[in-house]
Amino acid sequence: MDLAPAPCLRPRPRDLMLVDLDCFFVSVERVRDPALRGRPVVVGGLPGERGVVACASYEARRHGVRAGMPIFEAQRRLPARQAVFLRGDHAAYARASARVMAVLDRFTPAVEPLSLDEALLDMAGCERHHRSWLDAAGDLRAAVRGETGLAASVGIAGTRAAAKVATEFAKPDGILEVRRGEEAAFLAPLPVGHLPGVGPSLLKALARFHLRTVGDLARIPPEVLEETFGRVGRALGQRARGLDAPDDLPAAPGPGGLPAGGRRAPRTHSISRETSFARDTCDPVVIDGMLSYLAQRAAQALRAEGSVARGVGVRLRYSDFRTVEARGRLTEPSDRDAPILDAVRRLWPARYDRRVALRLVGVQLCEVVPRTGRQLDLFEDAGPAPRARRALDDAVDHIRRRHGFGAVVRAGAIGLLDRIPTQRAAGAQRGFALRTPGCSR
Amino acid sequence: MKVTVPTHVFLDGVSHGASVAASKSPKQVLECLVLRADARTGLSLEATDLDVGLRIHLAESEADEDGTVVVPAARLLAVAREVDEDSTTFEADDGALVLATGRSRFRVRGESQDDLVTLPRFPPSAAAQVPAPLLRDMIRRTVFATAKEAGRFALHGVLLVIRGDQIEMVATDGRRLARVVSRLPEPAARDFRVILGPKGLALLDRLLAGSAYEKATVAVAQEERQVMFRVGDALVISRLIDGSFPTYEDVIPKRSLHQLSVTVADLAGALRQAALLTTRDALSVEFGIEEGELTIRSRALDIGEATARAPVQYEGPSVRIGFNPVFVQEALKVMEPAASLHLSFTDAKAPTLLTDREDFTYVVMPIALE
Repeated sequence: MDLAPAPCLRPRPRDLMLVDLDCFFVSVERVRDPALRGRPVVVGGLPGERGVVACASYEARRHGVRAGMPIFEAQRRLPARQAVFLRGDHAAYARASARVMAVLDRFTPAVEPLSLDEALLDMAGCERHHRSWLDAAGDLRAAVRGETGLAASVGIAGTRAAAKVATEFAKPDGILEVRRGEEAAFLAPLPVGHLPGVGPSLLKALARFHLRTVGDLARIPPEVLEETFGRVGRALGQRARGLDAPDDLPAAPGPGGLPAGGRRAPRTHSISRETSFARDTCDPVVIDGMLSYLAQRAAQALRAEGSVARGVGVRLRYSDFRTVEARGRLTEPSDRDAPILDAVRRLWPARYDRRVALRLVGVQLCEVVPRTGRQLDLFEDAGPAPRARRALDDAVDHIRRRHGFGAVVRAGAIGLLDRIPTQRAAGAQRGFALRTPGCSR
Repeated sequence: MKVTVPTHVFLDGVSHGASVAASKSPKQVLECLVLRADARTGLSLEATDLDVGLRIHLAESEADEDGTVVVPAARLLAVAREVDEDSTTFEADDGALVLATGRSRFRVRGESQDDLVTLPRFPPSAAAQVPAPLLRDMIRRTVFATAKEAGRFALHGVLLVIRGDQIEMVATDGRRLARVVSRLPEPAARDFRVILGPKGLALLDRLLAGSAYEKATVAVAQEERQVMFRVGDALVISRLIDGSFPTYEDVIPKRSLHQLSVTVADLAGALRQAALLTTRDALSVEFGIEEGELTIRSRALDIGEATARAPVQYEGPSVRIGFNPVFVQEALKVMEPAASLHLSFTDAKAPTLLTDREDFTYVVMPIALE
């Protein structure tokens, strides 16, 4: 009989660093144009345009401007003479992000990018390269600033949740280290809203039970939390007690190379493209044209990553902000323009059932999975017509890669050409100007 | 009015009727069965959802007087199943149906008879006579290939063509196609070409499965927008599906480069095993064809892989073709397990032909493996 290892009740804290770039979009703009320093800067749209704040500088935040706020609201709050509004340039942000990630890669092989401006570094095994984690974080911040001109804040802790919270406190432009083993004590006095995984609705639910601080949560037995709030409840309890929830752990390769436990890579994801109109509209030509355009953008992204989508959704936001969605499924998972456009055109008219203008439309491709094989069609693939259609999609993608998306659009979207300003800036991806370009690719 | 029917006859009739009646309809009467008692001929039963209609006379039934009751089909079926005597007796009472069995008694409230749908009568002369076993075989070999999802031309139906003494049925969902061509004992009085929905054909299939119709002949007639099938005491009416059937002749390969023979049961077994490790989103298997052996492989992300083999007669180059296993399995189900199946193919992108009999053609489009 062999002895099983004694169960480890309290796993050894990890050595994690969460690196978050301060006001990322704004900082990139400031590197490009130093004249923006010291002024309130808002990325997301020009004054008078539709859109929401994608990123606001600290100067703008002092006036109460927050990400997600409509541009007109930000405009109202900021002093008109100093404030600078920018549309945003996703391509530039992606390039800056890649340069930062390349710097982080030098500090540890285990860099997990969480978004364009955020990454989790597992420093395990790198102890000998640094005097302390605090020093390592300092070196890292200096390297990022030296090579990209961007300010990064770093949270150091033994669990993912504590590192995330520490980073929030480290901002702007600072470091906060939670000593190993003191994660629970660090989190305990904080309002539960600080804990990763607590959104507005969960916050309300927790308040009903008078669970106000992270410490309150840590005192409740895990079974009770699970029974009351489901799986997420158990995970919150673990985070509150200074442990990693299963979702916070990286997926470790198990036997056969398949991930064993821990966080699994999502099996499917979705691709969305949405935009608000320059002026609210109830013109079906404009609505259909814009949706068709967004569907083409999404389908192109789908093909670029070699995936197929099974579900198609549309989202309509009326001028009174009431938002409706419709979902449909394709007969076959596909990456072709035609079936996706068909689905979008079937979905939106049925959902647009109020006599109210629309301010925003969006297309979502869901249940996106890697393309494994394509079911051929008797009547489309057995003849010459279908191969031609497929060749057309591929040729259009090719032209768009060289000359920008707007170089070729389907006739359905052409109705928009004289109604909506098109972006013709050199170097920028040509196409209709999406209202929140900072957030749209 | 009091009616007596042998229980198995009653139960059969009510189940056929219930399969026709609409399951949910704004018109209550379409969810109902119409029971018509006739003092001379006994009990007959009607149901329709406006797409398919059924009128059937129940053998060995007796009624003491004429009368009609209209009751919800699903309720009546549930009640009919409770009868454990050899014969079922029920009465009409103020529009309700009252049925007593053992120590239980059921009173099923009826619907108004004001807006009953009148089913047409079979015309005096039939257009064609089709042996019941032949018709049933043709239905079984085609109806499964109709499109299940909405949105594809007129593929939700089966094309029925009668021309002289030739009868043909074809169904396709755009990815596979099933076709049976056969001969009638007598040339048809009138040619026709119609598209019929799967529901009416499936009903006909179940009806003809009864031993009473083993040697029967089905009379077929077309009247305006519907086709009628009469066999014995039963009449099935199926509304035509509008639209044009695709020109399927072009997609049936006339000549293929390679031929393979395999026993249906061997292929079905290997396919079943390989399909165990597929998922809905990655529903594909790979046929690896080599001299003497067919290897079927599946692989699903996060699930695993499977390999199954079957002995085959094949001489030619090694070929790999991807298929949706369901499309092949559904065809194998209608074939005799011991039969020898011929698979003709040219390459991994061309339609592949499966057949176990001269009169049956099944074409499947492969999945292009990436």
